[in-house]
Amino acid sequence: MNRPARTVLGALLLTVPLLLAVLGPVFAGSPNVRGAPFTTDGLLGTDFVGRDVVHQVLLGGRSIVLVAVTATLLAYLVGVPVGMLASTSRRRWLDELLMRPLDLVLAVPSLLLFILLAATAPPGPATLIGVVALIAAPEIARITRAAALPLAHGPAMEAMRLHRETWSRRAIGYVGYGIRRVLLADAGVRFIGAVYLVATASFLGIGVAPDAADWAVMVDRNRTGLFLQPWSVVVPAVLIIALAVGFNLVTDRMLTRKPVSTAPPAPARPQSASTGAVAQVANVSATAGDRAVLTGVNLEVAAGQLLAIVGRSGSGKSTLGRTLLGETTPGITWSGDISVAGHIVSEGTPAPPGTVGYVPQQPSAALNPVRRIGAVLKELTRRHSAGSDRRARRQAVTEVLTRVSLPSDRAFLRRFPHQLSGGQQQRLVIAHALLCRAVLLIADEPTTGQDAITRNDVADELGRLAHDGIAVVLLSHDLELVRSIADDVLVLQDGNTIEHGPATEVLATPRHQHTQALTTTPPAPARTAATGGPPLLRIAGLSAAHRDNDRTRTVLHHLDLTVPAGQSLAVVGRSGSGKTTLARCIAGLHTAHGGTVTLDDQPLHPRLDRRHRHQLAAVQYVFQDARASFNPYRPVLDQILRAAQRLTDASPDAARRAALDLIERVGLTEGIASHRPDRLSGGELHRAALARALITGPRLLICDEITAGLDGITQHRVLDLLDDLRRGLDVAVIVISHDRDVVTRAADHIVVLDDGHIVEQGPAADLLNRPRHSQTRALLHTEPASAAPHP
Amino acid sequence: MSLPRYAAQRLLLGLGQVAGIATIVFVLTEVLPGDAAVVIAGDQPDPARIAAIRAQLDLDQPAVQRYLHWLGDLLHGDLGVSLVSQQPITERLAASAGATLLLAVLTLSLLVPLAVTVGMLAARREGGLLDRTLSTVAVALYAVPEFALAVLLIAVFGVQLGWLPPTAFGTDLISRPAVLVLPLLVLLARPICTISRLTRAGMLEALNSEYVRHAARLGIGGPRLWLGHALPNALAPVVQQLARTTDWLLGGVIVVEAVFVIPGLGTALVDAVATRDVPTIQALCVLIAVITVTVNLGADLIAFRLAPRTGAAR
Repeated sequence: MNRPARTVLGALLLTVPLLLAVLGPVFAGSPNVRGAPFTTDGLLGTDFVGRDVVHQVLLGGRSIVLVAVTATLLAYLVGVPVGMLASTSRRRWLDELLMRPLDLVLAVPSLLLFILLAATAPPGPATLIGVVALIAAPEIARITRAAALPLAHGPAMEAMRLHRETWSRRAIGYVGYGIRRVLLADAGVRFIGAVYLVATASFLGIGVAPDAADWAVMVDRNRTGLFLQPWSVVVPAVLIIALAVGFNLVTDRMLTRKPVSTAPPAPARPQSASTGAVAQVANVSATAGDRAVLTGVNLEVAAGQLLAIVGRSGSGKSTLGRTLLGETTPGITWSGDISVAGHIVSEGTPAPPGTVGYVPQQPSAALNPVRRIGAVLKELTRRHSAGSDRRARRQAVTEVLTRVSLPSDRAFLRRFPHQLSGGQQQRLVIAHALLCRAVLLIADEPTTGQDAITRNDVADELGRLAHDGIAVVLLSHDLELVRSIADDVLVLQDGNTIEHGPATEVLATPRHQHTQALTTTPPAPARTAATGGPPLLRIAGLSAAHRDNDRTRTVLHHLDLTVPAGQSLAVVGRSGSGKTTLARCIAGLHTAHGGTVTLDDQPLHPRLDRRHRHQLAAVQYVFQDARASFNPYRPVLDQILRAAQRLTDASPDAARRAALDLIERVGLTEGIASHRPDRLSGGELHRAALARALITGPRLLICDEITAGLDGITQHRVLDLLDDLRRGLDVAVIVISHDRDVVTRAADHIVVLDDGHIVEQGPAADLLNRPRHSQTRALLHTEPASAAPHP
Repeated sequence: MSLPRYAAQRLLLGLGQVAGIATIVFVLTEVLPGDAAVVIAGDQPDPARIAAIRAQLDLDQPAVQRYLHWLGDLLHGDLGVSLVSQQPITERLAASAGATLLLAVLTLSLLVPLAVTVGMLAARREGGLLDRTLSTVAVALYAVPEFALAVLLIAVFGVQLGWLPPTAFGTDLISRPAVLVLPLLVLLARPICTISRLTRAGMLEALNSEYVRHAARLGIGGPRLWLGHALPNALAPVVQQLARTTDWLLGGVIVVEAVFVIPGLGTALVDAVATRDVPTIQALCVLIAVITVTVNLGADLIAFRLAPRTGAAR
């Protein structure tokens, strides 16, 4: 049965008991004279004390429905505020205090709790309502808390706190609005649960008078006459079932997944004649709906060759990778001829298992989270080297792991994928492919979000694979990586091949304008004298810690640093070195437990909520994930305006003029900014985020990895913009980054963090040209080319 | 977090839960406003009976002292004496536990293979005839109260058709298994819906995941891919739900025992509530709490092993 039919059936089932419950008592009239028990007098006979069953049925629905509805409402009235309070409070003890007792209540079976509570209170509808509400409320509180928690502590909430947004707009306008769907979807389940509890308790004789006119009580009391007069039992039982089933069919939202139409199998095509190429792609086009994703792409990769496919995000790289695998992407159809290792590949018929390995952008996605890595490796060996004995197989595993520089001891093999670092996961996926003797490896953006040192490792690894005779297809926008290891380069723009040739030619003398834009690094702007004026921001002895799993881990150790007014400081370090925590401490988003932060010789309170309004306006923060830092339910322009209204003394008109001026300055229009965030592209939101931070007239702007995940062209635009704004508005900037390009472009001074310590700091020119510490060299200097042993 | 560390933490939490529930039970049943003995005597406010209740429950002593005393007895396995029969409660519970245990074990051992198989069959062809039929039945049956379903089944199969005995009154459950068919059907109806739907959803998610595609690309296929790679991932939520199902089963057992007249723990509880036999109510509640907490503990540990990343979260 499909969904509409189910809903109609549910509505029909629900109508009868609901109408009876609502209108029944109106039509019931006065009770008839009692007759003998369990006779067949009247339409449905008489009940256990000789009352007319029809009359009892008309009366018996109201109490169940009424009690269930009232109890559900009451439960929401109690549960939602508790859940909201627990999730939005930043005091851990309050959360614990509210939620721990609820956990306890949830651990008791609800019917048992019901019996216990009802047994001690006088029977009656009020008791029933109270008890059912008391049982449902903890679950509602828990669902509310779980739904509200990510909203209450996400970047959008932090941004609102930075702008001292009012409580009502934060808690009700944002969190409350955001969780409404979850709560509404849940209400049906809660109501059914209440009906279930009320009916069952009434049946057991708990909380109701023994002769009450109630369907459930009727079922219980008339059971003894089941042989004599079944209608007095069956009719109320069926009505209760119809109520429950009907309601569930109508409100069913659990089946959100629609059936996916499976594409008809592609007609078999003859095997292609074998050529020297491992993979051949001829005239491949792909469309999503009526939009062309790929148009007539041709390419060839030979064994031992490394082909890089370069393009901005959305240029069709990933789709091309998927078509090479012969896999279908929902919503995309493609045509053309592809052969891999002499086999024709078409939609739904991939190359023979094991010939192609694929390393996705998130390598962890390709690893089964619940299987130990050794067990999977063993299973793969068994499949691909049939007939060999155990020792040979173990040997094969060890060899492959050594080849990708992973340990092969027992302890390592017993680990789960999540216990490996990102780099290790990536190498493990490659090891899988090697075990299956793959001839072609496709790597999708293997260096996105990695620091310079890890990037070098990836370059090494891919170069070595090609050297060993495997054909490698690299999908990337990381030109450093491409330049250092690719043999051939194919540049995609909007699904069209705009350049294709040997890497040295394409990258050195790009013919197409777009390739030039992608490859050339704009000249670094002329630096202001790094000596600068008096320090604007002074940090002394700053320490900070993180708490996870009840253990405290110190992530910043007594840092001292200064930022001169109007200049820019880049904080660089590997992931986990503490650079983001440092930025958050300055903004007050993370509470430092030692040291001082002073702005213009005025101390800043470690806690954001204790800072003065003008101090909040003076230090602004731009989040890494621009999209997540906006409230998705309000227009972007509104949110920019609110920042000005809450933190500056500008009149509404002046604030609006300033906002529109800034919006234009960052390259947006009022039309674009009047939309909600979901209508803006990632690049547009980055600009809007800058505008929102700058409207308060800050003296210090903190930018946390604001270019991570952007392709080359967008990245340059954002950096240019930042540079312009900084000079035009005389703002000091702290840039958090691990990207060498960003640092070279945007920094006057550099601080290098390692494991929470400053290992080197000084003027940018010094550190870029004459680094002293090995970390600095590794992060800012190693050209991947110099490290890769490439043939 | 490693498994032993997690297990130790979880065990401590479980002990805390049992202690907490025992306290709630005591407070709700004995620390009543007014004179507890009068309330307990209820419909028969006979002075002699009130005095007897007061003496037996030591109601003259302060509540804290009674509570500690009661807790101490519990730790020694002494559940006290019934107010009604004046027999040790331990004996009464031991006599009733067999029937309930039989029902619960039979239900669970049928439930898991049936529900998981049904869920996997539904996931085999998403949106197929079987999938749609199962989904509809599951959605419909999910919320039906056990007593209504039980009475309906009795009316049809026990009374009208006469195929199966309508109640288990006076029969031995083991020597006459036919009496168990209807109770088991009733007990299975609800949990089979949730578990099969969870299995189906989990399987579909796992089958569409990158790691299953990765395994398929590397030549792992057929039943091995389904059972060895997709199913373990689908099972983690199933195990958690199974623990919740045990909660339900306890509730369902109370109803089913009442409808089919099976002398088990559920009947004992309903009787005790009806006669306000406070010591028996307390003992049963603590027993059920211990069972629930133990089952949840086991499920959490299995789920931790099945989903090592998420298990660490509370």
